[in-house]
Amino acid sequence: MNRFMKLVNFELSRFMKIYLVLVAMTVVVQVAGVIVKANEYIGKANQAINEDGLSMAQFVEQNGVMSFMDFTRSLWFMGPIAICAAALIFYIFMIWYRDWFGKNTFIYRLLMLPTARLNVYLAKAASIVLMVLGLVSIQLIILPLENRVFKWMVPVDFRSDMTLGQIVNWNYLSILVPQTFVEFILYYGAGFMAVSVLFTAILFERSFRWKGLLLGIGYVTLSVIIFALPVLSELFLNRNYFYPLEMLGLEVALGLIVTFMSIWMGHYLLTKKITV
Amino acid sequence: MKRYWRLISIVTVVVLTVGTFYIQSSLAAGGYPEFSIENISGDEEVIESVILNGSYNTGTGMHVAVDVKPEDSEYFNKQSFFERLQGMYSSEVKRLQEEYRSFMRGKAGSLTSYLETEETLAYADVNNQSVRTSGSEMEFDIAVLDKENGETTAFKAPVPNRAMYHQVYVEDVQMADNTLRVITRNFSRNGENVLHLYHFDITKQEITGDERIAMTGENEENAMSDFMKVRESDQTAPSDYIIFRENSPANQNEQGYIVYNLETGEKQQLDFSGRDVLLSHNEHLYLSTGDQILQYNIETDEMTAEIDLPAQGDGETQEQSPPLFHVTNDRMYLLTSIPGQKMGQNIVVIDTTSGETLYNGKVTSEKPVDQHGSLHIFDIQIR
Repeated sequence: MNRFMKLVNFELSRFMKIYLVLVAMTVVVQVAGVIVKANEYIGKANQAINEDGLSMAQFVEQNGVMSFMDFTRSLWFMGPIAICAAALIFYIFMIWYRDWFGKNTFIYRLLMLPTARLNVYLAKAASIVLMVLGLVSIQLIILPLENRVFKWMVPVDFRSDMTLGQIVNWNYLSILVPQTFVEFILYYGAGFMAVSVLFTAILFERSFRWKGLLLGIGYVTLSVIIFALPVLSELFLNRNYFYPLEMLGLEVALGLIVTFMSIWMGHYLLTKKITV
Repeated sequence: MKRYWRLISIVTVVVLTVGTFYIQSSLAAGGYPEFSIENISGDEEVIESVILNGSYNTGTGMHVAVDVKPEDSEYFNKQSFFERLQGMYSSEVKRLQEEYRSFMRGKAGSLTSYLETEETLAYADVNNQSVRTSGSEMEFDIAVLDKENGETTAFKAPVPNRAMYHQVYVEDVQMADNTLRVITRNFSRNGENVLHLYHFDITKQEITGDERIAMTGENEENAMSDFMKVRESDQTAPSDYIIFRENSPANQNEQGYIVYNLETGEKQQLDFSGRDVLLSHNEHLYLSTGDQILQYNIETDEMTAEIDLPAQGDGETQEQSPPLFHVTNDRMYLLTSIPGQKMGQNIVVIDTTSGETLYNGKVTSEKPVDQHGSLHIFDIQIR
């Protein structure tokens, strides 16, 4: 356990600089976005009221009130999230390949450690999951702050207020932070499954090189087919045979099978087939 | 411990933030106004089983589905994950799924496909209508459950002349002796819209009859007309009649109604001089005149009751839109909006035989609603 913690901590510290840059970028761009968006609306209102001679009520009637959603639907909000997501997806690959292609083939030392090689695999997976959850948490922390800034800038007659729960429930944000804790576990469990499948595919490539690349792609395809089997069968038969709860149970079971299959396969490749 | 500060700090931040968020959101009320039904006059018991299905519009283009009950309201986004997972079916279909789990497996969720009597539960739908397949693969999916011995008869049969059709919808299912009657609306490839009645012999498991009840474009006059099935008080209950409204854009004032008698095969035209039929309930039709509800008997072809509606607050009873209406067990439930008010809706319960008002109430919110918000109710459900 101690060795595993050490490895996770080690993996985290290797990405910490870029990670903190991502966090800082998210905070700065999003807060700036709230200010820019609010100013845009207020500017429009000022112009309409001062120059075109509209009353406040008329302006609101024509343009609608501003809500926090006007900001969350803009690139100012979505941009940083997209960049963070892309960076972490990229790092799922880099977390392995940097050990081979870094300054001094670091994977030598990792594999020589007096600990089960599976720990290396699991530590990398855990640090990816932790970093994703960390970014989601940061978003949850700064959302109320941004909401506060929004309320500062837009006078009460021009805005429609939303609580944190309402903001999160709308649009794609509910994919990152689902409504209930059960869904949170299900979504991020599925995320962990995807990471383990990709890791195993990467290890296929690392073990057998060009041939391994094909094996890796084949492995990903197989995993997708296994996981999507109930959905695919209903799609082909054009019939919803399973009740929703049964479908959920099946998917959870298949998800667990795919995850354990990936971890077991990764363990096998790391101990028996890996080449440096 | 100090060596692990990165790991410890990330885990702490994640656990605290995510934990706080979910604990808070499970405790918080959701931030939307709570609605209930305020008693003006009458007995509370009368509306105990009433559920008003509606949606709350926050004023920023967001709609949240909400059920208003006499005591409180229930927002759909406050439901647990498992409740929401099963929430895609109507409460009636959910009840059927619970009671007849294996019969209902793999069957579509539209209530028009079902018939439920004391002895049987029947189902009819048209399969293979997805975008991928052309109409030439359409087939009827028929299943009849004998409630007494639990036996299911199920078979498939190709839709007659299916190459002609673009889409076929099941509008109603009825049964008499061993014959299942399926009323469908067939959209032809040439733009026609035909109401069909198919007969299925359950013992022989085959189609024994195919009639056209009505079609668009029969003559010059109704070339562009359309048919709308009149809402039934209980979609799955047996009925001897199929009632359609004929809309023709040419003369908007003359909405005719077509009553088709399933027993005799007779077709009857009804004209209520522009009045809307709100609902059909067994052999009765209910119409609204604005301040009265008329009850019409199809069998005897006469108006059997005129029920006065209680006067609204300021005497302005004329409605732009017809009121929401529901009938069960000799009681009618009526929801009318109060003119000029975004939020207030009146609910009235009237005894259909005596015409007596049993209950009068108003939908209200606990707190004054956000100035931009509004509540829209689109269905009355009696549990």
